[in-house]
Amino acid sequence: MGQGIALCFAQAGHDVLLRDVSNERVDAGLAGMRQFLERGVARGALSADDAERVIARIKPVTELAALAPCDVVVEAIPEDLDLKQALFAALDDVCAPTTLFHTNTSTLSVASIAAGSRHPGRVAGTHFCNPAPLMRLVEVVPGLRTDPATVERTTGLLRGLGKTPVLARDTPGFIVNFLWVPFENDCIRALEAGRSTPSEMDRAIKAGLGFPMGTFRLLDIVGLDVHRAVSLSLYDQLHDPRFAPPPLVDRMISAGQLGRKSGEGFYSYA
Amino acid sequence: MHDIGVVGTDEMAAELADQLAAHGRKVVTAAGPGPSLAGCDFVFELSDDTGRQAKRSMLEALSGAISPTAVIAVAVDRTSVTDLSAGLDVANRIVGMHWVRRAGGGGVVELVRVEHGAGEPLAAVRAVLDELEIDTIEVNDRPGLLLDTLHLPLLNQAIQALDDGLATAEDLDLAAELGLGHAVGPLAAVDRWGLGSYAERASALFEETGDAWFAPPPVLRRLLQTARTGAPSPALNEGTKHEL
Repeated sequence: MGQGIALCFAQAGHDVLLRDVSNERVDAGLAGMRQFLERGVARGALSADDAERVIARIKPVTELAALAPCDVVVEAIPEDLDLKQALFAALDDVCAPTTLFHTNTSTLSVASIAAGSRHPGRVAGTHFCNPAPLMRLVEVVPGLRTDPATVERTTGLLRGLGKTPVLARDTPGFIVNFLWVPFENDCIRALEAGRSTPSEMDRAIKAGLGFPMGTFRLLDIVGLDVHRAVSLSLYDQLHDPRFAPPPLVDRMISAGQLGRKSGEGFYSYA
Repeated sequence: MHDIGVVGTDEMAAELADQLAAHGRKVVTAAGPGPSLAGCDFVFELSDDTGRQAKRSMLEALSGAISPTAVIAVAVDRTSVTDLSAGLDVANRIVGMHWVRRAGGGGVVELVRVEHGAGEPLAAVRAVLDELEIDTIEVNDRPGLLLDTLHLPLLNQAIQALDDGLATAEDLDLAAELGLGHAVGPLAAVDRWGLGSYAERASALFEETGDAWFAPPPVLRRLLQTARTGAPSPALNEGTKHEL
């Protein structure tokens, strides 16, 4: 996600510092971004020159101190509250108090993450969709202590990237995951109960409900391990049974059926 | 080639009859059961099922009018096809049909298996609809069949989220449309359904199953009750209302 978000900013003309914990990781990040742009060039979405210009705006760094001149810092590090709080605490000592701190968290509380900073007013959630360069939606989530000015600056910044920001409350799953994860679990439960098959249900969901992709096809793309993690995190916070990942998910993960990435999920990808 | 009967007087019956004829089928249309259907191997019975007794009487009459091997595909919206046909001569050769066409989808027909019924009648009906390139899915005969049991909890959750102030109606629908690629967001989808019809459907499903996820959120009733007579119907997402 970090690569995609960095690309969004670079494509809009911003200078970007891409930071990761080691040279290997940050180089891998840059390589991933290059690949993404190359695919765009191959598709005719942008010229090779444009792609070069975008990459040229991105500077890889490993030292946090290098982020001192930033007006905005977006974190897309692993979904771990301690890690995120520690990062913001460290950045407090590097960046100006007016620097915006954005978190791309999908399941954690923005207020909790903001509590890691001495200036929680400058912290906001900006939850991008995957893949970030292609998906217009960003959920903007003010924490309990986020300043209204931060929200305004954030939505303005995102609009400048060509994004469509929506404002959501700081509740588990915000809007998209809040609505979608329990629906996915309900579909899995129907399958578990033998009420239909993945391909039948996927066809019916698309044709009957006007959804762009069948649930099981999408779960295979996201990965069952990722679904389980997101679902469990939301269930732990909401205690609503619809958010609990059904037993079939664990069984499939144990059997190595993670979806497309392992060659088998609800469908086979041999 | 088999003769196909289409019983019903509304647009859906006329459309189906036209589609069958366009695919080279010999179609017998009828407003109700009668001797004209005697030669049919399939009969599509498309009358409204709001009045369960009326629908049952229709099936009883149809039972007497058609051949002893003819298969009936009966449109159901609120009733169990197993209940409707229980004890009737046609009980072992009847299939339920429920059309679901929401928010930009091409539409799908849920084909309902009668409980403890054989598979052949359903396969036969499915084959006829396949010829017309109508998407079908086999489902068990239970309240809400399959798609409503999946869709209504999502829609209810979005309605409740609006009432709880999670986001504005416009942002809620925009999030679903851009983030999930839904042709129409959940609130606009309920607006298209009609708040009153939707609330009725959800209530009925809740009453039949006792499952709280189907219960219509209280805000629906409040909106319907506060709507003035003669005023335009209330909407959850006023922003897309003009597209209705």
